[in-house]
Amino acid sequence: MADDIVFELLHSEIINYSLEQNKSSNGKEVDLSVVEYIGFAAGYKIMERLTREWPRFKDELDTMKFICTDFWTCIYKKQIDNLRTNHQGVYVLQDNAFRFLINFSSGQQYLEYAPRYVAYTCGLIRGGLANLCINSIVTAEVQTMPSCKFHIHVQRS
Amino acid sequence: MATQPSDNTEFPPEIILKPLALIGLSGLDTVNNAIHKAIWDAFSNNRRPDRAAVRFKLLNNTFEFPVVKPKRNSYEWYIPKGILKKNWITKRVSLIPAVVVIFYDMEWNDPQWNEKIIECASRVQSIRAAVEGHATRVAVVVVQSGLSPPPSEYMLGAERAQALCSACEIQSKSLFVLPHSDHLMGYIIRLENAFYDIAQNYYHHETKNIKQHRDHLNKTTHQYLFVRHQFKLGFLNELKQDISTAHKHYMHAYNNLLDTRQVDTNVHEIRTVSGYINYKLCKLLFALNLPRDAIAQVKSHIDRYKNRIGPTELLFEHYAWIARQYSAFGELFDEAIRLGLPAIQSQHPGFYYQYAAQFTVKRRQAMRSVCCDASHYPPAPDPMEGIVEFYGQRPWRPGRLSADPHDPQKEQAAVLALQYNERIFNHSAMIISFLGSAISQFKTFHSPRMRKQLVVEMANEYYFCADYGKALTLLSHMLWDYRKEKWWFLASHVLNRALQCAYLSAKIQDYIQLSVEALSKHIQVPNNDKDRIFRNIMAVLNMNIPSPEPNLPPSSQSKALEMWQLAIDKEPLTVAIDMINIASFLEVKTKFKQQKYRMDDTIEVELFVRLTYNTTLEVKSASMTISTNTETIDISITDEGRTTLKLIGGEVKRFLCQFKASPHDNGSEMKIKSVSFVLDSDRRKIVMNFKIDEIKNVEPTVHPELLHFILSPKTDYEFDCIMPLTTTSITSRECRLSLDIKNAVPALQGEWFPTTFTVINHEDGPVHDMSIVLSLLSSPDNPNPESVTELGFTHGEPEAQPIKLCVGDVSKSSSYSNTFYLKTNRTATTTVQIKVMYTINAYETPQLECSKEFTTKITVIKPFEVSTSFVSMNFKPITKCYVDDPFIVMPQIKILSPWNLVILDTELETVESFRYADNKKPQSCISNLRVAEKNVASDAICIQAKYKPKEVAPRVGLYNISWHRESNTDGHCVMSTTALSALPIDECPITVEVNYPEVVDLQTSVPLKCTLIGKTNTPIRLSLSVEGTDAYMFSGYKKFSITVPPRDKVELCYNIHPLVAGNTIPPRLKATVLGDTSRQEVVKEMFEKIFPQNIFVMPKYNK
Amino acid sequence: MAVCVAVIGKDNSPLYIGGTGNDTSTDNELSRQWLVHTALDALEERLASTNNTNLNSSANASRTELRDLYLGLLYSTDTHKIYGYVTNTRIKLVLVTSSTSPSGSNIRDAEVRTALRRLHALYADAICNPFHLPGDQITSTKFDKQVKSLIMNNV
Repeated sequence: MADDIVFELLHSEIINYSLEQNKSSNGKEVDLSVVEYIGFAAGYKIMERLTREWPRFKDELDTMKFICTDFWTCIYKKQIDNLRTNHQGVYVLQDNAFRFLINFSSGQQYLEYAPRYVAYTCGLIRGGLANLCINSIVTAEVQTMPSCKFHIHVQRS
Repeated sequence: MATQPSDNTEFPPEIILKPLALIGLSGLDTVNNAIHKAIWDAFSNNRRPDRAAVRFKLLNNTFEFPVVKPKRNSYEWYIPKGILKKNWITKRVSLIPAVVVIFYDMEWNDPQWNEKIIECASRVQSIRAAVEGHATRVAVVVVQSGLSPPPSEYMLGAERAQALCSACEIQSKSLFVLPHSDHLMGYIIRLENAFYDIAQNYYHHETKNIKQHRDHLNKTTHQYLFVRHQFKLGFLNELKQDISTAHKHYMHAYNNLLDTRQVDTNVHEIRTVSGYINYKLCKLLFALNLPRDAIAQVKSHIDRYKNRIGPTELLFEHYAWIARQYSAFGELFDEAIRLGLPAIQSQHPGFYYQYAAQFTVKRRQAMRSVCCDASHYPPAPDPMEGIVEFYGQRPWRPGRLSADPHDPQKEQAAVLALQYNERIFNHSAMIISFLGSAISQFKTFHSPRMRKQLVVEMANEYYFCADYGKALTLLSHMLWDYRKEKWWFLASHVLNRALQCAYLSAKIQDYIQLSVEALSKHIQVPNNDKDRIFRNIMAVLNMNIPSPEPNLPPSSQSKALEMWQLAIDKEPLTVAIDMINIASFLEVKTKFKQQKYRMDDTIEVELFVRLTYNTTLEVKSASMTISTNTETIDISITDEGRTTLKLIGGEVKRFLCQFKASPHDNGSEMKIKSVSFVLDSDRRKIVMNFKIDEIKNVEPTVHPELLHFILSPKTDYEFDCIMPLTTTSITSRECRLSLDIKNAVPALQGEWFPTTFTVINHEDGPVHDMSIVLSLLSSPDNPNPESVTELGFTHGEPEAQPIKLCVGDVSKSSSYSNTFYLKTNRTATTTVQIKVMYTINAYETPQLECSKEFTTKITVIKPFEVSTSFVSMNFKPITKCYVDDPFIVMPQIKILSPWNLVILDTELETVESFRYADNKKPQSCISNLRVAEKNVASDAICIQAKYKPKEVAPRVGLYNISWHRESNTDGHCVMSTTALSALPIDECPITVEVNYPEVVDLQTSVPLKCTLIGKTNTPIRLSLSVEGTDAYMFSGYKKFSITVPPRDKVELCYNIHPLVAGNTIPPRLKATVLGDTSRQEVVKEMFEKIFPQNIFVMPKYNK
Repeated sequence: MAVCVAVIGKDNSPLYIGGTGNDTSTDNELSRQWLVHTALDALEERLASTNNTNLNSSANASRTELRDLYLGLLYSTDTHKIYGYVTNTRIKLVLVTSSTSPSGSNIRDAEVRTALRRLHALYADAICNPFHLPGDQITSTKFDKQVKSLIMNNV
């Protein structure tokens, strides 16, 4: 559908734009924090809307299930394929066909660029959880395209 | 129970106290008679709730019972003068006992029995006479020693008790015997319960009496009596402890009272009595564990009466009454909770105390509107004087029931008196007291914010009664909470009131602090007049009296001015304000420019200051306090060299502080403690102190991530986005030495590997006391390097690690070199740390310690790999050997070292079960051999097994190789040892030797000699046969038997003659053991091994 | 008719307090703020009990009820009724009705629920305003207008 592709195109252009922005700074490290912040703000704001019709979350795990199902469906039109947790604040969400990677060739060809395409989503998850009063660190791991694992470490104070 | 403030609405004690059956005790001389005293104490002391609900009263001889009113036979002409008589309850609970008990000391076998019985009877008679007309019951207790009478007199007791009863004209169940000698308390409890029963009986009788009157009453004239009788029934049932019946009667009384016609003259009486009845009802409902009903009762009670306000000139009485209803209910509720009733956040006594306070406020408002003219008390005669017989009646018109005041003048004077009394009444004290009760309840029931609101109301009340100090204290505490939750509107409300209090009490410290906070962008001030507040701050700074706050009570203003005149040039001359804990017009952020500084770096702290109030602020001086582990230093903040800082409203100003760390700070952490701004007029100072290290406790409410994309409205974006950095760590000065490493890596396993390092001094001057420490660093693939690696400064001499080397001084631009040796048995990367430490005399800090850590990685590899093969004497590979059968061990040395090596010597150290075949150690075949990478050096040593060991397959032995690098000519060599693999050993009863040549010529006969040697102590019989082939002719026995003698040999001779050239299979001898077949297999293997599988036959050339 | 509605942030700071009428005098505003502020006590108590029942799995029946974002009537005073609603993001919505006016005292629970749900929707839209910083006070006049009309019409 055309409206889906607009989201993808906007996303990739934002990444191109932010790469352009930090071209001047030398070094191989690409600073994608701005993309992450954009994701954070979006996740934070959209969460208010998505949880409107949702009963009060029982606990943290209940919240994570919501992220895997409704939240993910709303944004990526599919659910997370696998959720695992150590019950101590670490959650691993696996998407076997992550939307932003699905158009790349599987295998090694673009693997080194994969981190650029997960930063926004990391921010999105982190922002969404932040609005639900769960402070977390979210990292992503891409081993084989187009599968992606998001690691959520809940920060307890 | 909390003592509630008193006024004329207070409930009389007889209403509040729990009614207890009254029992009179007579005949006890508690003063002179110790036994009587003990009896009385047992009755009266320690009245715990589990004891009977009775009250004992000691009746002396002169006690007079109330006179009995003559019985009325008809109520037809009787018009009651009021509802409830004030003295009725008192009579019931303290004057008319239900039972009078006469105590009399008498033993059944008393010698003067007859006199005694007469005296006792006369006492009973006189009591009877005294209670004449009352239905009070009489009982007699005979106090005895309690010593059991002799059996002969057993009957006597019964007889005499009988006699006593008839003499006293009492029933036998009213006669009790109390032995006082022991178990007194037990007897007393039993007596008490018996009396209680009698009392209940009495009260029951009384209620019946009252019920009889009812038939005579009619609703038109006797409405009051309906109330009164039902109240009495209720009360008597309470005395009887029948609370549900009591409740029923009180309810009737309450409803009857509701039906009573109310006019201005009886409104006070009706509401007073209804208040009492309602109190009783609620109390009983709590006692019946029906708290919801109690709450419903009080609610409907207030609802019913809230519009019955009575005469408007006495409106305040109405509100006073409502307030009292609520506070009394609050107390009942509170008491029920203390007795175990659970309460919840939304329903607890605090609400009722709060209502009481609210209605007291209304009462005061009513007073203000109706009592303005009551400036004096009316002249004599005092209308308030006079005895009132009924609850709630007016002293100036007792017992009058008509709706019109019969004496308008007197009525007017009375109203004036009431109004005057109300006017001088301290409402604030009452409100504060109610609020105080409410506050503690709201605190108990998890309502901190409700509590805060009430505290603010309480502070307002203190303000109204001009207790500005107390008000200020309360408000300052509350301000804190509203600020913390960012309820700025409420905070502003509290702050403005507090500022008024501070002004009115001329408290300079509070006044300045509150004024500074009032300038914050969050605070709204009256008329939005922040300029006035700012001018006031400047005025106080300059020892001038500030202008008053708006809307102050005029009465306090002149006094405030006097106080200011006294206070303005006195202490405090320095006003310190803790800025972190208030909202203010000044905001700061501090930031170390780096997270880490070297000792010789200039430390830089950036200070950002934002002034949100639109003015220009001249700060006389500013400083920053920085602490390290050892000290705290103050650093002055300057603006381009000037100490006076100029801050402009709406702007963010940046200042830079630069300083050097002191020598003690090395390795420590440095923190920004605080930043202070001083406003100074030479006479007074205002120090605004930001305690930076306390900011962290305040969690930011806005996620910093979200700040990045907020556009125009946040003009101060840059300030908000500055992330403070308030700690930094100080590390030693960076060392300006360099290190060169020279070595020939990779190092080879087992060698003492030399590394030469050179430290070059690039400092501007000489360095002193240089020392070097060598240590090994662990790494994931080499976790315990010190256990496998040796270090030393001399070849072959390991030293304890870490190794310290004192070098001494090194002058400028020169260098120091040394070599260390490293030997490791592990093929991994070894990391060596070389830490150089020294001192230098820098121009600012002498003896400055510097250090630098260098690391070098040394890869260690194996010099060569040794593999082994075993072959037979004819170089065929073998997988096992036989005892005394020599074979060859062939170690093969594959060179892995990239450097050329020289193998000096090799040797095989055999284990016990093997020996050299020649009985002496052979010369190595590869000694003094020069080898390069990928070469393979093969050695060969001939050995044989000595015996068959019991355990399986021993290793053949250790193979030692002495070697050194070809480049190394200093004579040090390395001995590497390899364990060779194992070879199984077997035993064969015979040995076979045959001289088969490798090559034979075609058509040329070759003689073969085959020797069979017996190895055992028994002869072995063999059947031998020759397996011929077409390629050979041969001569000798083809098939025969032979006996191999023990420890001796037989020889067999053959001739073979090859017929074809090329690879041929020669004739081979095969043996079968005759007799003991267990060794058949090994003998067969021996023959197979000895006789070659093929022989090359050379063709013959014709010359 | 609702007297006032309020949006209160995660940290219990007021994000928006809106009332009816043109009466914006300080006293009115003050009593409104007190009412809403003290309602936080009841809200916190309810939330705490929700968490407690979560721990105690035996109370299953009440659990489903407590998982409703709408908390219902928090408490009532002589003059006002205060209703509460807490979003999953811990934003607290408070609606105050007057017990003295006929339209306020006869209000049905379902109406309040609907009104608060609509307020939640308005809030969810308001934070998507790029000029609004979540956690700051809501200053959008559009939001204010919508809330005012919600107070007037719906309840």
